[in-house]
Amino acid sequence: MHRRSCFSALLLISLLLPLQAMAQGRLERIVERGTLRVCIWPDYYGISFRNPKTGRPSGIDIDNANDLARRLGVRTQFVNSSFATLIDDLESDRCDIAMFAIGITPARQERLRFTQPYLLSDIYAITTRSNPRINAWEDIDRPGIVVAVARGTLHEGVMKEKLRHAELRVLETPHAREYEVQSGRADVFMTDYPYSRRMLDNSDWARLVAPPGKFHTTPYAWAMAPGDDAFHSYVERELQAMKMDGRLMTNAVRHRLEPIVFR
Amino acid sequence: MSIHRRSALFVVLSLLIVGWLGAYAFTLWRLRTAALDNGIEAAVTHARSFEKHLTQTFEMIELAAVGLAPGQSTDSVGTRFSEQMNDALRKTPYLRSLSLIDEEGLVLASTSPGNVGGKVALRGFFPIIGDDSPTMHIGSLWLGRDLADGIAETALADDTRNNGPAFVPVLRRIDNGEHRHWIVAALNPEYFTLHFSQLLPGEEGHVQILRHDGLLLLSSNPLDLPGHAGAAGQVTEWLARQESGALRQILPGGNPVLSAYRVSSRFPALVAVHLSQNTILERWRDEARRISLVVLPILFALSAAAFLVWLRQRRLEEREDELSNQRKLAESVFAATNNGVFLTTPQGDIIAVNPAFERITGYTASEVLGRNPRLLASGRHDESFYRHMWESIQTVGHWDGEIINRRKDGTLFHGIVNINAVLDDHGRLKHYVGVTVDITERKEYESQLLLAKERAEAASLAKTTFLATVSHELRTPMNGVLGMTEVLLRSPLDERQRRQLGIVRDSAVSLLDILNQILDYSKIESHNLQLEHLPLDVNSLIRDLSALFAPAALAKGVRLHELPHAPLPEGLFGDPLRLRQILTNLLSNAVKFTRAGEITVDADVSDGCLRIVVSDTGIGIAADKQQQIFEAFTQADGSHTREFGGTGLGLSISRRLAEAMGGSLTVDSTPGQGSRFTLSIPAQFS
Repeated sequence: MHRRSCFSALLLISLLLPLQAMAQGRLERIVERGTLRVCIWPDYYGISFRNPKTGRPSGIDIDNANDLARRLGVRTQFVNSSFATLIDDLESDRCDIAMFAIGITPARQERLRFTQPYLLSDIYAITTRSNPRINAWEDIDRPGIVVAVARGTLHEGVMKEKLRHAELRVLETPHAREYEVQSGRADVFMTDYPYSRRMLDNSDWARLVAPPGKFHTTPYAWAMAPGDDAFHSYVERELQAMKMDGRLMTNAVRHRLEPIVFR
Repeated sequence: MSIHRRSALFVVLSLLIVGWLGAYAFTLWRLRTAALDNGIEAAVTHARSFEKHLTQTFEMIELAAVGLAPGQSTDSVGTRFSEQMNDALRKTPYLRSLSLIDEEGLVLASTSPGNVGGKVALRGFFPIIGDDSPTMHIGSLWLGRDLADGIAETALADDTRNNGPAFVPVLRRIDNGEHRHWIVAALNPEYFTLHFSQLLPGEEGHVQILRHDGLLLLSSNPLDLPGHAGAAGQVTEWLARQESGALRQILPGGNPVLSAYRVSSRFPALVAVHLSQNTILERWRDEARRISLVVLPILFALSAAAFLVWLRQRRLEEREDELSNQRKLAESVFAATNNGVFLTTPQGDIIAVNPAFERITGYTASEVLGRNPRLLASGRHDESFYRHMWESIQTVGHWDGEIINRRKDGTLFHGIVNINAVLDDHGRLKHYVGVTVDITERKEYESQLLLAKERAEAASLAKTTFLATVSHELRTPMNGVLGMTEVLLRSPLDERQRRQLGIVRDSAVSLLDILNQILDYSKIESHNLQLEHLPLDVNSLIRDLSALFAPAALAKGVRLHELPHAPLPEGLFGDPLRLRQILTNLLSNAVKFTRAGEITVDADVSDGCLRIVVSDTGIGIAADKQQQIFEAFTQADGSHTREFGGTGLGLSISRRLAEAMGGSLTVDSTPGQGSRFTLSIPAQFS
């Protein structure tokens, strides 16, 4: 009986401990847990790419996340996410921070808290090598041309606003954009600098169409759920430190992203 | 013979070069054939690979269609289509869309929702629709992105070509109980052209997909017009005979190509691969150029070397010819010369003689070959003569001289022998060559001449001796005449007798003088003149003679004086008497031929030479007479003897005396102005 009450007391404590932890800041919880949960988009080549053949993640934000975790003295735990599910994943506390070059858009800013930007990318178009209709950036916004974008990406909003003559086709997944272009149902799809590198590195059919000047640059940052100032300022400080001591640039060079590093 | 050898060499070298060139050309031809063969092979391989790819693509479509066929499920086709034709089918890059249509062509369902409700024109397909067999029916290239905006174009005209999207519809019948349906796949041609152009870049060739009836569906060559037949050239004709093949042909566009085609193993379509023959041959040309860069210089060098060898051979032969000519010339000279020539080894053994040698010595060549020239020795020369000869030959390599040799018949002959050592280029002694000139006859002439000369000289001497004797013999009575005349003149005589006797004395003196001169001349001529070697006081000699001749000169109104000069050195030696004779002669001539003015005497010693100059202002001597006056019995003018007296021997004697003293007597004169005689004799101090 006494033993049972003791067991009940222990059970109660064990149930209460997380509650107590909830009351603590996120930093403390991370340290206590021993892992930094980082939301990544595993298809983001060069940023947070999980190699489909090996399952191993690589990219500038994988390195950055590992740096950040090392400073905290914890391990990283990468949580698959995407631009479509990003806000939900952060709000439901599936991860502590989203680190996959998230474009700072007003819509996202309403729900998320961003760090200072660390990358800055313009928009690029990918077409097939054999497409005779698209030779230059000016050929995109023409009647009869079909432009594909992925739902939830910043490109959706930007292209909706910018396209006058071409047809915009919004697709449910980023991969669908590629099939759409490859099969000829669309002529181009819009993407950013890191994803365009992936296409050029891994697809023998893809052809890059770059804007002649600045088209629409978007600053990229890490995002957190709002409400924890201490965690946010810690991450800001760390990001600043990484910019200052060259770790950010080193990581960028490793993944050939140095042209878009934002200082 | 050399001509033959030379032309043989030339032919061999030419054949060699031609052979090399031939091998080179053969290699290039083989490389070209190999390149074309490889091209055909590559085209065949490409065709096989692309055909497999095409067939698999069609099989995927068929698989999708069969999956929708009845019997798999009781659901309606439309429902099953929606379930099965999900995004997975959208991911196939070769498909634009997959749609379900009814027999009227109405689109019931589609992977691209935009197609639903549209109408598909069921015409222009191959094989023609109507056949019940479940086979693939392939349309032509339709303009448009998908069925919704697709337009069947049977033939695309050149001017309507645009870059707009297009697709190839493929039909497959599926039966659904009482209803018949079609599955329509819109093939994405760009997928194929991209695939083709990636494996076969445009400059290397292009790939076409044709329907089995020869209609062009798509091509990786953007200039090809889909919808036309005949774009694959003769492939369409070959198709009737065999399902696959390879050929060289010229396409309708004018491009020579290596073509290979292959019909799909299961579907009414085929792949034709056309490799550009120009590209293949360009590669072959590049290779040929690279080989040429190596081969041609070598070939050129070899040709040049061969030519040089031939040239050198020719030059050698020319030189040989020239040498042979020279040898012949030398031989002919050797044979034709009148000089006896013999050639010996360094040891002195005769190895060759010429005909003249045989003629001179009387020996035939065979008799002297291998023997020493010593066999000609006459015994007239002593041992030292031969020793000197041999030493000279050995030390300076040369000897010449006169020699008396003995002929074979024992008679002697005089020869001038010239022996020379013959050295080779390295200075080694090879031969001695001896040249003998037979001077026996010349010697005889010489001795005759000498004899004649001796006779003539003896006659001349006899004449001079006669003269001297006569003069001497005449002088003796003359002295008697003079002595008696003097005696008579001292005796008491009347005036007339005294005058006549005076004439006798003068004549005798004059005659004696002439006799003395003739005697002197004779002595000089017969080399009997003996010069004394005594102390010579030239100063007092000049002074005495000046004093002696001054009164006679003054009597003619001519002033004779000695020019002031530096005192002559003491201690001179010479013949004072003969010097006095010369000066007396010069002064007496001066007085004799000077009517007015002056006579001067000058003397000095310089450059080891005593020089005495007698100048006058007399009648002078014409330039053409200036040498004559020194010859015996000559005066400048024949009339002078009469006017001025004298034998004309004086100057002749004076000059001979001067020459006998080792000096000279010269004249420098201008007619009417005077003469200047210069006596130069060596100044002897001991």
